[in-house]
Amino acid sequence: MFDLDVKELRALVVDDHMMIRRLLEGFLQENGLVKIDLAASSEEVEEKLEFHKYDLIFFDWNLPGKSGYAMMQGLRENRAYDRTAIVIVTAESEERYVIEALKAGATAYIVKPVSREAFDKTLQKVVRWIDRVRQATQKSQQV
Amino acid sequence: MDRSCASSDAKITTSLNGVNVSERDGMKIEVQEVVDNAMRATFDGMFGWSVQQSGGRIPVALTMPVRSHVLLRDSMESTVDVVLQFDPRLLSLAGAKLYPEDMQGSAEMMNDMAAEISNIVAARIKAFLNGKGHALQMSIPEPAAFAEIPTADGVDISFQYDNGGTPKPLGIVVSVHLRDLN
Repeated sequence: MFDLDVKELRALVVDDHMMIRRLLEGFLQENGLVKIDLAASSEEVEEKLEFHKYDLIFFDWNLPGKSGYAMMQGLRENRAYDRTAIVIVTAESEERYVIEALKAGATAYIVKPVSREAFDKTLQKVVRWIDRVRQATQKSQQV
Repeated sequence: MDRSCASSDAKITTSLNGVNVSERDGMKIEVQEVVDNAMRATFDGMFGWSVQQSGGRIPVALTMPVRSHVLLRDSMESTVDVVLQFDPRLLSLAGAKLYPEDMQGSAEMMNDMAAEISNIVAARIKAFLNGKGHALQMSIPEPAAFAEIPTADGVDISFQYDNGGTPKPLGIVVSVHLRDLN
């Protein structure tokens, strides 16, 4: 389905609740991803980012301390993360949140409760996005 | 503690305290539907479980419940308390596949699940009320003691786990109460 191998993708799941971290980890594994890290706070995210380059990051919007939204904004200001897909996973279903997240650079937005079906559909779109961005980067490098 | 969610520029066109009795009763019915949809979607989507309302009765088995409280509040005079009470056995069963072995049945696991589920339900209620012109913000879920369960005007909705045959006496009670700050 994709030019890229999903096994090669590295994902980070950020949520203060273990229930969601483990749920999304399971969904990603069932979709063939094997490189998956979990973080519960902005401190843990910073630690992980020091050691790994992620292809996709799932942020809960509301976290104690620095929010997932604020962390996404920070990453989007850094060109090094232009090719990283960022998915906001949140209970906030109001349209204004969705618009705000997408305007701030979210690649996709998932409303909790997260069903397997909704997650899989979004993941497919996100993987396609990563694929397109990689191909565009390769083409521009060739030029 | 207030969440650091996006600041709201929505105008407050209504106060929860400003509605009359029949409007308030109508709102309670609508809130009940919102809670019902949220609970069904949460248990079905995340655990593959079916829950159903238990006809308003407080489930007998709901002893020593795990409680979680979320506060919805606007800058004026409206406050909505959302309290979820869970039978710990229900949480243990639902979370069995999600949590590591060393956490099974622990207070940490129970509180984590209760908080996340109450967060989802409260967010749905907030979206519904904000869709009616309010500008409520949501707190982070906190464990709640029995004394903190609101007694103000509101609705109590009981759910039980439906295993396809006779529903098991594993219950959840969702209380949504409108509290005046005057």
